[in-house]
Order: sequence, then structure tokens, then C-alpha cells
Amino acid sequence: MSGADLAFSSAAELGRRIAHRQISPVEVAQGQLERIARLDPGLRSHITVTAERALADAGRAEAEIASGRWLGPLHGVPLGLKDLFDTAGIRTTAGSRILADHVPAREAVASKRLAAAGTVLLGKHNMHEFAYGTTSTNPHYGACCNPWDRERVPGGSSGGSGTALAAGLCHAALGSDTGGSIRIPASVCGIVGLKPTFGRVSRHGVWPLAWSLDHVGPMARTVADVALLLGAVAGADPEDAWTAGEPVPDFGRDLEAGVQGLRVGVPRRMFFDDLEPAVGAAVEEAIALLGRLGARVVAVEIPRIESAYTAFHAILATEASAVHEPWMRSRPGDYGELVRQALELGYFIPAVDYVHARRMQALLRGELDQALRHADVLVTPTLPRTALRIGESVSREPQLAWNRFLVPFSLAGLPAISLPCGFDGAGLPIGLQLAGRAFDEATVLRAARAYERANDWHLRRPPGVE
Amino acid sequence: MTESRSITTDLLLQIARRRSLALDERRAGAIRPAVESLLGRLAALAPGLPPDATPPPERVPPPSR
Repeated sequence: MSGADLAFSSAAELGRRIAHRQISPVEVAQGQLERIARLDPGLRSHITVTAERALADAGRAEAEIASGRWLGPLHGVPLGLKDLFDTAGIRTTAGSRILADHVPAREAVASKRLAAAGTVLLGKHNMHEFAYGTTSTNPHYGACCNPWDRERVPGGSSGGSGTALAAGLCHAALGSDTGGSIRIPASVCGIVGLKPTFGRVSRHGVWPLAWSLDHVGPMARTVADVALLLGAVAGADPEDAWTAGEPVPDFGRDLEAGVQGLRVGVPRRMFFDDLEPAVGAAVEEAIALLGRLGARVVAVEIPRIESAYTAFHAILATEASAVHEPWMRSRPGDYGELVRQALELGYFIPAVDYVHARRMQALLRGELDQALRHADVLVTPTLPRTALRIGESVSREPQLAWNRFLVPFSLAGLPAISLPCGFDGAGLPIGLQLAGRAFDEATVLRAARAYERANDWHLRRPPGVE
Repeated sequence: MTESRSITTDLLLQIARRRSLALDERRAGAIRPAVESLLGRLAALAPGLPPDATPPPERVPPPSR
């Protein structure tokens, strides 16, 4: 297996080879660090490369496995964290100038759980400043580039993770998603990203954007890898009162069960408006394929869907401005211009409107719950278009926002995955979104895997990253 | 449907001052269209809410069957 083939192997396959001592985790980490040194200057997917920590983690994994203390399928697997997860002793910037020298004493709970699974931390990924945006064009650490076309964004806010995975610079990553920040990079970078159910994964030690909407979730190149990562980080956490006590199943158990008899709901209203033709064609073909694989395709209605973006925007803006109020008073000039403007807006939303938005959030949650009585999963495009050009403006108007198909599931807190479903004429990836019932990530993953297994979209590699 | 809810630059400056935020006239003018748009959309959203609609619970409940 060549160095590039190893770099692009799945986390599950790499973990198997490490477990069987066919390959050394130290050699894998060294190879990945060499790739980062060679390729990342042109991609800017990392804010901090944690070479020393990676080699220490890998050496420990090798010794543990050699002495028969195997910690599981992720033992020795190298990964990255979006740079808003606190890492004890390693700076955590949240993509900001304000936290440029911030070295936390504590470790985020999700990061701790990954470390307990024996993973190897390669670095902290570039991101949209304070996670407040969807491009990862970061004014302080450089515009992160999409490996499929370096003139384009990798999406955001977990854009560095999308880029690093698409370029074979890590085997897995952990991101956060408030209004699509895992699923947007997954879509435009041609990888897989899952926003789990709200409360499924602890957010303790993760820099907040909006408390009512923030989710932590896995990103990888295959559905099975995302399932593995979710299993490692999911579960109640006494440090995060918003986590739920729902049991954590083995997310890999039914992964290969297929979609025979599964009801796939298609919410046509809003979700299929104003699509780029290539996106529309790819998603229609994906729906047809799910039907050919044995799923029953049904139409579903979400009556208040047009209100989702406005409610989302009000909650996001108000809570984000509350998070940042101290620095918006003392250091406003240290924010990038676009994030500062977005934060300024939040101070002008009356409390009554915020409460109305939260009431609408509850109504939409109920409507999606109702739709999911008639379907086991919902299928939509992830985004209406492929990757934006770096510097292209991003609208926050409901009919134009490129994350408008994502926010309903953010508001409702329902699990939603994006996986590759094709490429446009310029060779840019297209994403398919599958969403499911609360705490039923297993069915979402099962449907996603059935689709993935019938295609080879996820196996394609961007140019120039060998 | 979008309802217009106009807001003057002066009002933005007043509110900003009350919160000790560094918002000058240029910056207030730059964000004013976005503020008006969002407030207008929120004004249109409120009348559609049934009286018994409450904010959501802190945790997502398991799905109803």
C-alpha cells in the first residue's frame, strides 16, 4: 500500500491493520505529519500541528497494543480536532485573534473520550472565526482552501476538518455544528459528517456559539468511520447538563442492514427550491437509487418549514452576541469584520422576538417529529449548490442562505448526516442529507451506508494530494 | 412574507451606547439593513404562533410513536 493509499484508507481499515500489528501507529503518524508539512501550506487546514503529542500518543498506542492492551477500533488512528475543543496544554484559538495565545488547562470531554479510545492527535483544525460563519475564510489564520478547487472554500465552520479529510491529512475529525458547520464542509469537500441528536455528545470544553443549537459531531471519509467516532464520544456527561441519558447503542451493529422496507421521506417544499441543476439531478438520482435498493419513498409535509431560517437566525444571533458581549465591549477591533458585524446584529433583537423564535423552534420540532412518524429518515440536498469561491459573499436571507436546508434539523436537534452523492461539471462534490428521529442515529447511518455502498463517490480523491 | 420593521441609525446607536458597545454611525449604517430584515421577518413570524406554543424543553425528548 502506497503512502497516499494509507493516508486515504478508512479509519476502520487503518485501525484493523494497527490492531493486527501489520503497521505501526508511529509510522502512520510520522507519515501523516510528513503529508501535513508538505501539503498543508497550500491548504491551511491546520492552526496548530501537534507533532510532539502525535508521536507520544502513537508511541503509547504501539506499546499498549504490543502488550495486549488493545483499546478498540480507533486505537492508534490519527485524527484532528476543530480548534474550538479545549486541549490541555495545547493552544485552542477558536479561530480567533482574541484566543490566539489561549492554552487551556482542561480537556474537552469529547476530546478526552477520543484519547481514551487510543486515538492520536495530529493537530487543531482551522475554522471560521469563533464558528460564526460557513466559509472558514479566516482573517487571522488564513483562508482555508477546498482541495477540490483551491480557489473555493471548504465550507464552515469546521472547514479545516473538511479540507484535512479530503486531502488525506487525517483519518477522522471532530467538528461542531450549530447551523450546518459539520454538514457544509462534508458536502463541499466530498466527505461524511454527522450532526448527532442534540444532547448526544457533551459540549463541555467546546467554545460555544449558541447554547440552544450547538452540537458536537464526527467527520470522516466513510459512514462506518463516522459511526465508530460517534460511539467513542457519545453519552451523558455530568459536566454538560444538556446531554441526555439515552442509552448509546453500537452504531455499527446494523450498518450493513440495507434499506429494504425503510421509509424514506422526501420533504419537497423549500428543500428542493432553487437548486443548481447538477445538485438537483444528483439528489433525484440518489432518491431513485434508495428506491431501487428497496426503500419506500414517501412524500412528507413540514407546514412551517419556511419559518425555520428566521427562527434559527434570531436564536443564533442573540445567543452568540450574549456569548461575546464582554469582548465586544473591550476588544471589538480584534474580531474579523464579518464576524463583528454578525455579532453586532444580535444586540438589536428584542427579547420578545427571541422567545417567539424559541417557540417556533418547538413547533418545528413537533412538525419534524410528525413527519418522522410517516418516514424512518428524511432525504434532502445538503446544500443548494457546490462550493463557493473564496471571497464570495454569503447571504443570511432565508431564500438565499446556502445552509437553509440544514437549519431545520439544527433547530429540531435531530440527527442529520451529509455524504457524497456526486460531482458537478467542474468536478466539485455534491452532498446528500439524511435526517432521522431523535436518538436514532443508527437508522440514519444505516440508510447512509446503504447509499454509500452502492456508489464510489466517497472513494474519489482531489487532484494534487498524492 | 416579510413585514417591514424600520429602525433608525440613531436608535441603533442609542441601544449600542446603553450596552457600552463601540458602534459608530458608519457601522450602524452597515448593519441596519440586516437588522431591519431580521426584525421584519420576526414580526411576520409571531402572529402565526398558536397561544399554547411554548419554547422547547432543554433536552430533546425521544420521538413519539
